[in-house]
Amino acid sequence: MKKFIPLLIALILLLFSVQVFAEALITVHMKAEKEVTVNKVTKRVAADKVNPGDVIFYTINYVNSGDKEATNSFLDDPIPKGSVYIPGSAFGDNAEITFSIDGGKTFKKPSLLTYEVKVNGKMEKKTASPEQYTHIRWTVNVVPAHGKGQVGFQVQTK
Amino acid sequence: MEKKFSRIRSTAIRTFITGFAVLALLAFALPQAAQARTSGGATIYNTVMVNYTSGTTVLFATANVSVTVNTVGAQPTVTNPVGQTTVAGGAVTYVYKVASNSNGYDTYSTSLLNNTATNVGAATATSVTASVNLWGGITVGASGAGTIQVPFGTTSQLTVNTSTVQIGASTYTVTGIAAGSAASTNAGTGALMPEVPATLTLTLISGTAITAGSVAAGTQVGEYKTAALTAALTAGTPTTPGTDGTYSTFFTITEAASGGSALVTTGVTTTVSSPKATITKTVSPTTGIIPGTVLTYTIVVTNPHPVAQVTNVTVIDPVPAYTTYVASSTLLNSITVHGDGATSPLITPGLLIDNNTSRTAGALATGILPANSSATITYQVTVN
Repeated sequence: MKKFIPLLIALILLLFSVQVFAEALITVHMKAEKEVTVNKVTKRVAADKVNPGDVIFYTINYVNSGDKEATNSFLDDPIPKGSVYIPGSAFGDNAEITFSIDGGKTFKKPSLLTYEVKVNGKMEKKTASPEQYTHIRWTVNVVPAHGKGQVGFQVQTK
Repeated sequence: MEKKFSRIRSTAIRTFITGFAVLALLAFALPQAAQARTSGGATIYNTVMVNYTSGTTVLFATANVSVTVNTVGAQPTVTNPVGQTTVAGGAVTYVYKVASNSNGYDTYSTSLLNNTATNVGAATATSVTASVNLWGGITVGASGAGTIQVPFGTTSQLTVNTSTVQIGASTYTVTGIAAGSAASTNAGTGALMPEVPATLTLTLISGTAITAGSVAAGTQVGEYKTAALTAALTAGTPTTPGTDGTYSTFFTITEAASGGSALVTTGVTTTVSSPKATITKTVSPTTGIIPGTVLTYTIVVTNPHPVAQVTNVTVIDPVPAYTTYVASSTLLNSITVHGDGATSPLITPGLLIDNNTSRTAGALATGILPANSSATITYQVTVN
């Protein structure tokens, strides 16, 4: 019987660790909406169909349903093809918002998004315009256990 | 949808940014009056990936949402056929070319058909095709050699080797369609799998062949049809002989998709010929006439109409008083006439004439004076 006690303790400890070993588990949901004006009242409705030129409002909600905080958290969203990012529309609680103009390889603040182009034989530095943004990133860093947050942005349909 | 502002400074910055966004929105809003730049039926696919670490494990989750772009109604381009000339009771058919200027597939319906009549009775049996369906699209990416790209899922209404499209002033047959594929999110990596657009192979009919880069992204491509839209009418009777009548045929064409406006076509003119014969009569001699003098009367009947004939032309001319008809003296185009003898054939009911200079002597004339023709009748009387 004494031989089994270490094994028993190990088993109990294992059981314990399964129960107290928590994880972070993030789920994310996204919705698309547009604004409609009826009788001078403007409200947002689900955007199933839009006209070219319409603005689409994307809202992204994320939830950490786990018992552990999530670290190194960031959300990446490639700007949808067929639309143009509306400058200044990106929002996010406690998020650092950066953009990519190189297909998601690097992300920077808008004023730092530059590229070089040859003008009259000379390389000139130009600041990227929103039409050139390819991705948006929200860097949240930590999502507490059972925490949640919301980010979003707007585009204009081409 | 609430946003929490933790600091007043954030609020001020946000208000400034929002104001800038409104301005930017206005700047973006201006081009809305111009051509829609995305195909109707295109899908705008948005996918977001949240990356995080749990302990030491790197994980991700994704979400996506799709929005479909509407077809916006746009006035088609209707090309009129050439006006035709007909006669009273003649049937005329007009065939129009109609081309799409829209970003998507749409149905174009006609209404308010007019056949405005001038100098002619109302047209009968009037009709116009009820509706025509036309595909439309906006290119994505620059063209390839003989090919253009449009969004995935927007080409089902095109038929290979049948559908014809125009880009600017050039026309093409659709000779190939590669469907492409929809955008999706890779379940294993969370990455966006971009849409592969549909590729249309276009073979030149007239104009400029498509080469790499010759057609820019955002170019409208419209299907056109040359036999689908027709209007028909049967002409009434001109009101005034000698004055041609006309019909001006036009109609209204409207799109099914909203956002466009109705087009009233310009009139196509049908001319209804209204010929009228003219007649002159002379006599010789005019002086030194005594009993026994033989007078020769010359009657010329002319149809001056440039296009239409006159039918059932009959000349009636009683024998003048104080004269006696010279038996069998009547000639039509210098040829003896049917029914001549002791009595003039020109007394009621009169003599049927025509312009034939090869009529068999004594044969009945047809009564037909073709366009731009005349007949000459001569006969003689003796002064009593």
